[in-house]
Amino acid sequence: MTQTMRQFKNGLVDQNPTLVLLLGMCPTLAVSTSLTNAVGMGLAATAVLICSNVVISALRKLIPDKIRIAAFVVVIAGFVTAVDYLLQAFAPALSDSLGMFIPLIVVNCIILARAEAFASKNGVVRSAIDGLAMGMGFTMALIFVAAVRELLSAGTLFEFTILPDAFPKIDIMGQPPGGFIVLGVVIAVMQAVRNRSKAKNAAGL
Amino acid sequence: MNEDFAEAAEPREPVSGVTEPASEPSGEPVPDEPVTGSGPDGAPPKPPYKKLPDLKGVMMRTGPFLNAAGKGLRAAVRVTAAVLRVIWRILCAIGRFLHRVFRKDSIPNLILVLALLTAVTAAGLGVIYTVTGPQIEAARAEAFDAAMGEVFPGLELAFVKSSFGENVYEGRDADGNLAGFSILVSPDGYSGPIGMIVGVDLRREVTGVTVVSQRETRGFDAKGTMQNGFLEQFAGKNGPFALGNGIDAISGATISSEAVTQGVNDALALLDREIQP
Repeated sequence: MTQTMRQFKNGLVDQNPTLVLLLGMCPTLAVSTSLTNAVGMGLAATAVLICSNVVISALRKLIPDKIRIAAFVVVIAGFVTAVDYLLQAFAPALSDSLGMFIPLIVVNCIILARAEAFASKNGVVRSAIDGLAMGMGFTMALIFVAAVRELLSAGTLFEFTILPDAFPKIDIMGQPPGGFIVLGVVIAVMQAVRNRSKAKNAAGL
Repeated sequence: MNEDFAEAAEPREPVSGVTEPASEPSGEPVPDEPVTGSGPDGAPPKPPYKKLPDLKGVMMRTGPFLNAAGKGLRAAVRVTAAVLRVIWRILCAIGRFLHRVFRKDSIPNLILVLALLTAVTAAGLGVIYTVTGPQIEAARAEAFDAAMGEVFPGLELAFVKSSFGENVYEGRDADGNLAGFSILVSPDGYSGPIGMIVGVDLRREVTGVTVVSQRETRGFDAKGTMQNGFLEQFAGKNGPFALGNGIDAISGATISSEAVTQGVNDALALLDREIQP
């Protein structure tokens, strides 16, 4: 397995930021009410993650240790604001429905965690790949949670009606408690899958 | 660095020692004399004195001058060395100061790095904003006009602020004729204000009601009951409205229904002084 492959496996499964490291819970719970929001949020966070990882990795030798967190936050906030402007200009509807959660990407732990744990210690290309992998992991988790919640609370996926009207809609799934419930279930499923593959690997060895 | 300088100054020392080689020959010929005198061939020794008085005379005459020159030179070297040493010390001090100030972890360097980083980020954002700013304004204006127009189904209107009130907008058709009013109201709902737009025509009849922002519970949002006929109940009627009197509340959302009804009444009240039914 090449290093790149391993990085992607880390981001999507082994160190999935949302489902395994349990980082960035707040945006996950808040925007996973619909698939459109989930994909929009996931892509925005991924874009910020890649850009900030690249810049922080490039500047890692210039940034003194004592102010590294402040410097990281400046870089991340810059990219988040840029993404916010671009969304407002070219995707106003998405910008409206994500609302406050775009500016709040600044304090998304995933991004700061990758800056601190990876980008400040690795080269530019590796950091870019890490940003992409971790962003994909975050987006994937959001999509899992949002698909279940949107289907159960509104009977739709990407706003297309999937379930017949007769199917009872579970309002609580669209509300915060539903978010916690679905997230818990998705984390449990993820853990089960990882345990099984771990057991299989152990048996194979 | 003191030692360094001392070394640097040393090569000049022999210059000041010019007098020394001059005094040496006066001593040397004396030990030389017996050697030349007792040649192996036994030849009579040359009179050894002839040159010495000459040399001695020269020495006697030039010595004081050379001595004085040497002293002068030595003094000059000493002075320049002292001056150079002072300059060197100042340079070293400046170097040490700069080194301390701009060490990676020194406070001035922390400030410098952070300030530079922030300035570059701000400049970048400025560039992005100049590109996207007009686009953002246009998108907002479009969304505003669309929301305003939504309460006048079938009409294409442009909206301008009215003199009637802060939240009243006049809708004018393509010819500039007044066609109605869009009024922004925000009654208190179940969980926070409900942002609404109420359309009212010139006969003071409600043309339409739309909710633009709300934080009610899920059953009351745009996908839920709000669009299932509740808001349409106001259209084409004169106020004042009351629940149970021509307006049916949303079951399970009485407070929200009451708030919306109140909002429509508020909007009509804003126009009371201007148009009568």
